[in-house]
Amino acid sequence: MRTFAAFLKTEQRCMGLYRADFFLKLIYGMIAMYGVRSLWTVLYAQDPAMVGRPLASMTTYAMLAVALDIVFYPSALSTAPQNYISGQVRTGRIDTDLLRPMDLQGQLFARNVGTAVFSILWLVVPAWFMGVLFLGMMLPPGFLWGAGFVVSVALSFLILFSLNFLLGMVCFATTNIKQLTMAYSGIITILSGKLIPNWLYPDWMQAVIRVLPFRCIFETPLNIYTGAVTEREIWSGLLLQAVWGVVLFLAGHLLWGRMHRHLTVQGG
Amino acid sequence: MKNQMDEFKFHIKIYGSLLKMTMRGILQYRADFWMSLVSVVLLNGANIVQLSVITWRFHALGGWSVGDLLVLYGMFMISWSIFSIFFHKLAKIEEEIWSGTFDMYLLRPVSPFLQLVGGDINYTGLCDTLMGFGLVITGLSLAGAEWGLWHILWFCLFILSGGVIVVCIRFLISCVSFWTTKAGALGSIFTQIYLLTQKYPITIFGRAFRVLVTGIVPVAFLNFYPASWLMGKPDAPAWLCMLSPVVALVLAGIASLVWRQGLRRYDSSGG
Repeated sequence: MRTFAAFLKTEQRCMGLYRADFFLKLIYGMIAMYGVRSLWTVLYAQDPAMVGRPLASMTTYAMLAVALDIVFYPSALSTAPQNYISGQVRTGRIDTDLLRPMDLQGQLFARNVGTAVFSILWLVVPAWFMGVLFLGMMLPPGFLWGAGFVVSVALSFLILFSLNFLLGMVCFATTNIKQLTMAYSGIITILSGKLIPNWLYPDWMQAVIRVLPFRCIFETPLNIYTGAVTEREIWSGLLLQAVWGVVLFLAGHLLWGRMHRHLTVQGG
Repeated sequence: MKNQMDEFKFHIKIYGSLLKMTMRGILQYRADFWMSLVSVVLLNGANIVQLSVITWRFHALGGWSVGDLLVLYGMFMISWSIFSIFFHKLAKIEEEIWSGTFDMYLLRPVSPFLQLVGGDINYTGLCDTLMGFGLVITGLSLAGAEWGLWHILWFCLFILSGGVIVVCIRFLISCVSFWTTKAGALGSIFTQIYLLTQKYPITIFGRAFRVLVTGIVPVAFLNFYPASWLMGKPDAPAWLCMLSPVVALVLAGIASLVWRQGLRRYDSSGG
């Protein structure tokens, strides 16, 4: 646990160096939030029934998705496992990571949690705050929804990390993962509900999305925040997220265990 | 006058030989081209899916059908690719100043601009061109639009003007790095703005935003104004749409002035 805390601290310290960068990312976030707000306002005016929820709830859903995306875009953080692993493999420095007396997945998790917590505090929270102040973003309908949202975001992170880690494992097997990463990011963009709310898809596609883990990353927390779910559904949503998180994390753990044994480091 | 002509011919020759050199290097990586094509489709796929789903459910977006939107999106990609194929190095001026490699250009007896753009041709940008044309053609058939020769000629002119506009905006942003170190930041903000104008008609935005992308950072002349005239949308008066080539020329003039001023002002980072 202490090693874990040390990793966390180091990452936070590294991030602190780039304050100016944070300010900029906040501006991008605001522009993108303004974009989706305009989009849904126009679509709501065209056909409110099709949107299926009050305008404020819809724009809040879309803007919060953009705000979360600053940190939750699969390769947004340099410490995301697939970014980190492919960088280290390319430069041949991965051996130093393997020498450390801590499992690779644990190390990466600690690093990634560090940057994620820091980025959420410095980017997502300010973007959310600006959204509430200037762009008419709603607050959650009650304490339970607010708290549920926070827990849900943490679980989203666990799922995203685990998926990213699985992708990172592929980086060991192939040297050119650019296209793979793009395909993966594209799938998450389309199926997580951040760009297109899942209820707008054709029924057969909604059925497919329901059995995949991706919607747990964005749709679940956003639906909780905007009050689109009942109290009971908050609990079932969080439970499903937790199950996916644990299953995917363990899958990464097992896969890494198998790969580690077969790994040979090029004599960089 | 004759002297200037000679100089111009000399420049063209230099650019040609620089291109030849880079082509030779690039041809060794043909597999890259196919991988890039896959990347471009993947990168833009999510947006195309989004536009399709929205127009399927809501029939249109601010009066634009799915066909219109694909033309809007495709035209942007084609114009943008002119920049990404031939001029993408212009976006790297800031890096070159930082690392000190920019000084190298100033020492050689050829225009620094030519060395900059001739130094690299990114032929994977051709994938954007291809996908852009694919989208425009699909969009046209979906919208059932019929273009005569007049429309096609204007389309070509719009694409070229669009290319010049992107190159100039990107170049101007880079030139800012002669004065401050914040050019990268400006570039990224520009990116966020054009990401919106690339896929949505600007009529869905507020007045301030429309003024911004028309008069200040005129990215709307890349695709919105051209597409709204070509597709017969009532969103903008025809004369404004046809102003695209004029905007391109004015920007080019401004860019060349700023570039000269910047070079005069430049002192090396001492790398």
